[in-house]
Amino acid sequence: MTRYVLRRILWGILLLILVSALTFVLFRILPTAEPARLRAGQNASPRVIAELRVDLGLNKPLITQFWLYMKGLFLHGELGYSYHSGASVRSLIFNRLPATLSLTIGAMVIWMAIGLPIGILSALRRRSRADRASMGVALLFISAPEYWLGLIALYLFAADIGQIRVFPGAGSYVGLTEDPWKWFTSLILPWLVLAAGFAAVYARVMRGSLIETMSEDYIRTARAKGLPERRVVLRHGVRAAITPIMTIFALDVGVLLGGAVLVETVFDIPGIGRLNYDAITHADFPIIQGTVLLAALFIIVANILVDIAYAYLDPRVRYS
Amino acid sequence: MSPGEPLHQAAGDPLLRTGSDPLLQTGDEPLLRVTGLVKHFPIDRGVMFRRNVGAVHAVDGIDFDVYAGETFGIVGESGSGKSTTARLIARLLDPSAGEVRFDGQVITALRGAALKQLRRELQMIFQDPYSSLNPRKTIGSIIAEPLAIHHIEPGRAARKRAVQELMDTVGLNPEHYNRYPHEFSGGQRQRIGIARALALRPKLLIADEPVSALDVSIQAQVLNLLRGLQREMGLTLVLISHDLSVVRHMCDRVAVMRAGKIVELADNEALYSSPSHPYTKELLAAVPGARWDRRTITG
Amino acid sequence: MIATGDPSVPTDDPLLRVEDLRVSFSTEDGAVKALDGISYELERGRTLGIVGESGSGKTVAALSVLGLTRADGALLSGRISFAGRDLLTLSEGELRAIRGNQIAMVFQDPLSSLHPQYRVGAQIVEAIRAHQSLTKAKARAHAIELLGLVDIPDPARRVDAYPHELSGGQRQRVMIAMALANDPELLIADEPTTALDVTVQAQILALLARLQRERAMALVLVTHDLGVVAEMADDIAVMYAGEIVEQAPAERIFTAPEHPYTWGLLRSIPTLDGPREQELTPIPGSPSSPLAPPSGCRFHPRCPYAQPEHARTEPALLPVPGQPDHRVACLLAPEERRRLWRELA
Repeated sequence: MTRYVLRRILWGILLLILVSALTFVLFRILPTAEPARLRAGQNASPRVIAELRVDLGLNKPLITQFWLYMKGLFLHGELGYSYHSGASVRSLIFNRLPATLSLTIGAMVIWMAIGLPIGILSALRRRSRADRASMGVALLFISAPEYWLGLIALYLFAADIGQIRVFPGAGSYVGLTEDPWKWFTSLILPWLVLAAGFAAVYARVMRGSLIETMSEDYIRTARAKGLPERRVVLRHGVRAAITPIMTIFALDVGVLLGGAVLVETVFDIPGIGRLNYDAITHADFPIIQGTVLLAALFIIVANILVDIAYAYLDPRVRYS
Repeated sequence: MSPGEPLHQAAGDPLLRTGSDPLLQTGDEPLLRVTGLVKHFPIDRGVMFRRNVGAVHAVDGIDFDVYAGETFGIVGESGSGKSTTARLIARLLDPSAGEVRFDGQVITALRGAALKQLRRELQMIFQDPYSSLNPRKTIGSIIAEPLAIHHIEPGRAARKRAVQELMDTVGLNPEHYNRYPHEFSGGQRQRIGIARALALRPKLLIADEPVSALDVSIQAQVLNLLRGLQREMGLTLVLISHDLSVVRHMCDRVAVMRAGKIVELADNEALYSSPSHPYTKELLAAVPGARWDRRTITG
Repeated sequence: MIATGDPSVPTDDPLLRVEDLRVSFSTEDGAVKALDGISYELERGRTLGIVGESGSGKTVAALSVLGLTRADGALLSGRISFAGRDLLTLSEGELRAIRGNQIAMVFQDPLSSLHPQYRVGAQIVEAIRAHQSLTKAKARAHAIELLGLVDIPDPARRVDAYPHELSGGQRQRVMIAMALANDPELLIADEPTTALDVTVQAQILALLARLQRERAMALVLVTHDLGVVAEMADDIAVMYAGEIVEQAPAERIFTAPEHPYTWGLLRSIPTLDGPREQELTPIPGSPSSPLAPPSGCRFHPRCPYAQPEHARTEPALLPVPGQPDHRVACLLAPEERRRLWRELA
């Protein structure tokens, strides 16, 4: 087992290095705006621009730039400075991370709590009216674009512009430490909107996986032992059916931690997604680079964790 | 059209070789000669970079001859290496060491066009009739495929005629040319596989557990078919099975395999009435109902 | 007859009596009659071998006793009497009290029949604690004992193995140990050795025979292999197309069979000691599909002795004259059958 874990971690580190390198190269060779010029602003003289280029280290050969970047990244955790505002990318990211974490973790709890039980019940009552209805609703939520859902939610329930003024509107996010109650209420709508699509997907996947599992021979054995049906379904059926859910869960959480751009934008939540979006519009490479690396890190870590969880759950995997 | 050399009555007659060591037979050159055949599957270990720490010795040095016109049986339990041997002879796998001679020619290193030519002489049928046929093709095209690949019977009409003739030979209704595999029963699908294997009129047919997946009452149909075809077409048959009764019924000479090695090789009568190796005795003793006196039934 | 020690149950009552059991499933292609009225009895400590090919209904016959077909939406009718109760009338909860307890089952493929993610010990313990209130520690000790009973070497260590870490034979031993966990009176084994090598098969059959003797347990052995029932069974029931076509003590099935299907089976199976030159005589055609069973006598399309009226009348399972234990469902006259058999044999 430890060999398995070690192998996964080593590959993960290798992957991270690869992603950093690729990101760096990509952003250096992209033929979009010149960062020096952007920094200098409108109507800047060529001399100012040239000076800025030296300042930003853009005059050095690409290899040197890359080496300096990697050294700074892996030895000091240095992510550079924003071209636009000059602020440290690292501090910007750390400032925005709590919001994204709040959004992601809350949504995750909700979508698992809703999606999985619905999937299980649908699998057990296959082809019933309840099953058809829930799968139909799920399809609806999967198809609905997040930002559309978000806008509808605001239109219906937001305190400032909504029809039924229940929840705080867009832009009302505050940090957890500042005002826990306001933090909580301001996130309810975003959580529900973000969770909707995922809950639907998870319900469908759970349903499919459990239907398949329940037709396996070991379920018949469990019943032949005289076990209560609830135990057969949960301990034997769901236990085996949960493995594909774990895989997509890792990817979903990993991706979301990199920033749920659409929801953060609609609800004006200052998270990593917003940061990234703003940076893109300003061609602010250091920030973009930083957020991309962060997203990659989250996804790689999430995948490693899921591989480990997989091996823990299914002993047959450990021998690969 | 009859394949290769004419059927040697002497070579197929088991009584001639009783009492003499089959491996040292002089006189007729064997159709198939296997010498020192070895197949190892490597086991890799390691955290990042996998290194080879050992190997599974699926086939661990075997020698045997198969003479034209005879039915040669290879019997063993799971892990004995019998299926791997079949695939090695059929050149579906490359051996780790050793040599296979077919009709005088070394075939272990053949590639490309020469290998394709070999396929005309040496064919195989498989165990599972449900997965060895492409479900998306009609059985007509499945049986015609070898003809098309080797450019025999050019022209669709000629090929169709040839295929329907084959279907008739194996006991299928030629009118069912355009049906799909799933429309047939297991026994019929096995017949389709046999028809496909026989399309090229091979000299040697390797049958890997041809009846194990079939119902008991259908097994007899397919076994009788194989026997009949063998006589009609002068085929040489290598039959691989775990079922000692089937091998007893079909084969002239039998090799017993265990853990990659042949532990006993003898004539049918000799093996079943007076086995010499303890493992053979163990196998024979293990067959259920063997002690039941059934002579009154089969007469 | 082995005394049960329970005075309320008369010892000459059969342990299991199945009467006119019919099972049908509704599928997309229509109603499928998997079992169309089978009846048999089993005494304590005896072995009944149920022999049949695919489509015969033998597996459904095995599963229906414990009501395991209910989950698939099966419709059952008839009577299954066990220890004085009709199992078909019991609720799911009452049946659960019997499953794995007084009646236990062993299935064909032990690799797929054991849960791949739990250790074998845990699975046996689960079977024990479903019916006995033992502490986890006591149940575990009992599980180790059971593993030893089925001849698994080093049971104290093996108890923590996962199913895929064991060989096929060991897995089947685990299934048997699990089935015996609560000392059942009846064990139903559905093709228990089909997936195993022949030498392992012999060991498992010997194990079953020994355990049966030691525990005075009744055994229903469902298989397609006549050799297996020859080895193990006291009585044999031959099934075809959802019905029992012949039922008799084992030796009579082999020495004086009465049904043409049985004759066909016996003559089409290669044996170890039969003469080689003799051709096997296959039964023409294929086993009938449960979706469209033939009219009248189900076997008539494949029977070499069928008469036109056999397509119209269904034969009943009746005793052979002079042999009350031997029943056959055939429309041919008994003297006619005797004559035909003498010619064949």
